[in-house]
Amino acid sequence: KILPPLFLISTCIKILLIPTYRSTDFDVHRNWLAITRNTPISEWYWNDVNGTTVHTLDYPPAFAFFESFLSNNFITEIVLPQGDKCLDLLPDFDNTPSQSCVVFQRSTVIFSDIILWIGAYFACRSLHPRRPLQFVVTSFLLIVFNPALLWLDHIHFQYNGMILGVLLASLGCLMMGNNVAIVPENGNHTLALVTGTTLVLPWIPFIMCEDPKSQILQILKRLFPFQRGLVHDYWAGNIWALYTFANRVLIFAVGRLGPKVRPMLSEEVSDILDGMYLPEPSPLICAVLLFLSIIPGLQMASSRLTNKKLIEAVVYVSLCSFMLAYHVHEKAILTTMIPLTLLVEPNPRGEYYNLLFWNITLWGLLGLFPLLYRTR
Amino acid sequence: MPNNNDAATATTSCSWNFLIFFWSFICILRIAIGFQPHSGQDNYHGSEDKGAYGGDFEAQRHWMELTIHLPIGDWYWYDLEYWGLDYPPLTAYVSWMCGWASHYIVGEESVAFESSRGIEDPNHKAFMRGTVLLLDLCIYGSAVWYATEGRDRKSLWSIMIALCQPAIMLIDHGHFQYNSVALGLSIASFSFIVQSDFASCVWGGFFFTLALNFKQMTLYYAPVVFFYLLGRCSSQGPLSFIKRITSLGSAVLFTFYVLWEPFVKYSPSDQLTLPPIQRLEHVIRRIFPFQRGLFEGKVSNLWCALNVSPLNIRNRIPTDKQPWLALLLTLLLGLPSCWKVLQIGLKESRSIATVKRHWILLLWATTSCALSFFLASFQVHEKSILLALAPCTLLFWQDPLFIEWFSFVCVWSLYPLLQVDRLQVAYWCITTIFASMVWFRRIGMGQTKIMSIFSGKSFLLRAIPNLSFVGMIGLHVAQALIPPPPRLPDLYEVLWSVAGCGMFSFAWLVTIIKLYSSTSSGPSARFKDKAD
Repeated sequence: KILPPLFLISTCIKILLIPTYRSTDFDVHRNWLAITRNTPISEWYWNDVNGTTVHTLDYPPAFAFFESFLSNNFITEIVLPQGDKCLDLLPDFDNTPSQSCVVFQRSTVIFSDIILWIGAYFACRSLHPRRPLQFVVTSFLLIVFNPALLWLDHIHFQYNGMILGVLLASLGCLMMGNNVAIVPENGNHTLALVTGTTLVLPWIPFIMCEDPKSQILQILKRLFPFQRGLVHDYWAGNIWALYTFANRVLIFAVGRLGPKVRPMLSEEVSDILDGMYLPEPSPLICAVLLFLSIIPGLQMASSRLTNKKLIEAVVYVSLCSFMLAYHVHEKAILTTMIPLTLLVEPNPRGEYYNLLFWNITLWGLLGLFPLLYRTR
Repeated sequence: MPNNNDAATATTSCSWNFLIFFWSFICILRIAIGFQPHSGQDNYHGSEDKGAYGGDFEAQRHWMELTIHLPIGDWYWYDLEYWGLDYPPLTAYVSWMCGWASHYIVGEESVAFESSRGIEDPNHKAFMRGTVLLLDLCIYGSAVWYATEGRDRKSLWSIMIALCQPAIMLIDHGHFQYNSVALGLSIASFSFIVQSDFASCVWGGFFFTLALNFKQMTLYYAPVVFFYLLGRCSSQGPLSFIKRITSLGSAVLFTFYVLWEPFVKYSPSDQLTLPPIQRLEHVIRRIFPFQRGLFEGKVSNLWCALNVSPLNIRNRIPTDKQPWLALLLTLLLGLPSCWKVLQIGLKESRSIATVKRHWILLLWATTSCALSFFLASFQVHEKSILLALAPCTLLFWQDPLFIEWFSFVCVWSLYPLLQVDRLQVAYWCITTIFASMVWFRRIGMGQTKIMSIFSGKSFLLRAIPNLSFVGMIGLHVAQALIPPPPRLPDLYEVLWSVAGCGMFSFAWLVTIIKLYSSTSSGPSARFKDKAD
């Protein structure tokens, strides 16, 4: 019952944040709106406005369809004034958005947060179906008022709230399914069918284009840009960051100690010492390490599950991915934080989770600080 | 929630992390408003075209500039056409401090002499907003925090309502003003003067003098404060009267002397032989510009409402008589509150319970006096309604429905001003947030019966809040959809001011009723029982 006024308060604060700093992600999403509006489907993953933009489409197809929905419906036509260049394909050096463009895009984020609220409610409710409402209110409020989401979505400009809402809703569904005492024999088959369909469905339009093989390859290339290297723009606080730091320390130490030590060593050893640095990890290594670390989680997930264990497994796997995967963004900590918030309980029994929650939240938020503001 | 009747121990019954949340929420609201445009940003004036650049923001920045670069004698004389200083000395001193802060924190170019006029820099704007935020929290926030005894949920809720008043936040953090300093000093002085020992009265007098010297608007409270202190001084007999009046008077006069002395001692650089009395007179003229008319623009007071054709009162009364008429009417309207505080001041309190009663009555009286000044005085500005709002919000649990209604009316009456500043988005957001808080309270209190002036047996009284909400929203809708006819371009402003005047007059009546009815029944009776 207290939800409506809280929702109004948070929405109003988000509206007040409209004129704050936007990052390049804003321009990225605007460009995607333009691409999905102005070009045919077969060109979505190829188009780069004649080479003048770096904001090419690099999210999976379902998101592309979401952007298409935003840019092609009649409400958008009404809201944006005539002649506004908001939805046109613009080169990077000339794409300053107009005020109405900013308002429009920010409003889409604010509206998409409804999905977050719905998903969070659903997940919280299904995790503890028999407890009173007070019990789950804490985790619910902590999710929807999460400062990281506020920063990323409404200032830095992203759609994480919506995506996490869908994740939470799916978790909620799984837990609801678990709550049903008797799972019918072909229940698993239904589940596989639904999951499979949902995964495959967005790809179908791309397969129906002329050259399906190159389409799919292009999409994969965009989605997983391995050529960018391990540490592209931001340093996510994961294992590779420590690794790179160790690398730097090594180079520094070799540079300092080398001249002193060299006379004492033989020729070959000092040659090796000169060019010494830690090897660059390849994507394959990352994938292997990741798979190894996930094994405990998968093992747990395949055995008989309670709702709580499911969420724990999700948290564990996402944290492993954050730590070990190739090219991780700092935002990925959200996929760990949000499910962990579900486990928070306002009583002494949940002490372990509360402590964990505090730690992850604090360090996660700290890691996200650089995204708040960047001098242009 | 049992009210904390053990008033001797103001127990902190809330945890520290709740306090952090509490203060953070208050800060976040203010900072979020701060992102919206300030008065005169990009020289946007709506339809008016003044000679000077920008609005109140530029005026404050200009004062920071001139106080740090010019000798003190020149402060009230320099370039009076471009935002000349027109607040009393304490504002000038605070501007001086902020000016040096701006010089060192933002950089020289923000307050460089003459070349920084009209500067529009995001860092500078953030700094200015920061000064308002800091002063607001330190002075107004701490005054409200310490004035409210008890830290149970009810008291905390009333503090939150007082600190989240839409009107105050929008004017100070949106339009850009430093009203919260004056309001905070006034509230601090009120909380001091109701205490039982006379030394606090002297302290209260001191704070009130500071408030007066920060913004001359706080004169709206002065009659009530004067009569209450007069009552306190006279309450113990003639000998102590002399003692008390001397100590109080000397404190007040000393404060005035310290603050005003430099302006009398030093003369402006270009008129070095100006006699001191003329220097003083010039400063007073800057602070009280009597040469302006009965009212400027469309304010929600009686003169404006009576000036609507066919009444046209401004044209029917000769110009030289107008100030006297305004004064007369103001004093008439303010008389009931002054009389009441004189009465209660004479019965000096000995116990905590009567201190509380004095506090409540003083707050109603100052609200009433401020409303009388607002309705009938000379040269009233729309922003002066904040003076009536500030003491009123501290009375939240005395009559929650009335306070909530009054808060909405105040912020609604400020809408034309906010529209000029392009603060409509902030207006709607903050008002919605406040409405959500009201909703929240209603849910929290459930079916508990609330004593209110709006919940009595009279059908008219119960209908008034709903009617006024319909009217306020109706005017908003009408203004959005129906353009004003060409013969009456100011139609909506006039409607706004007439409706506002009606609602404020009703509010004034309510304050008088509250002042005189609480002697018979109500909270005071209960406290009397407990004190004995």
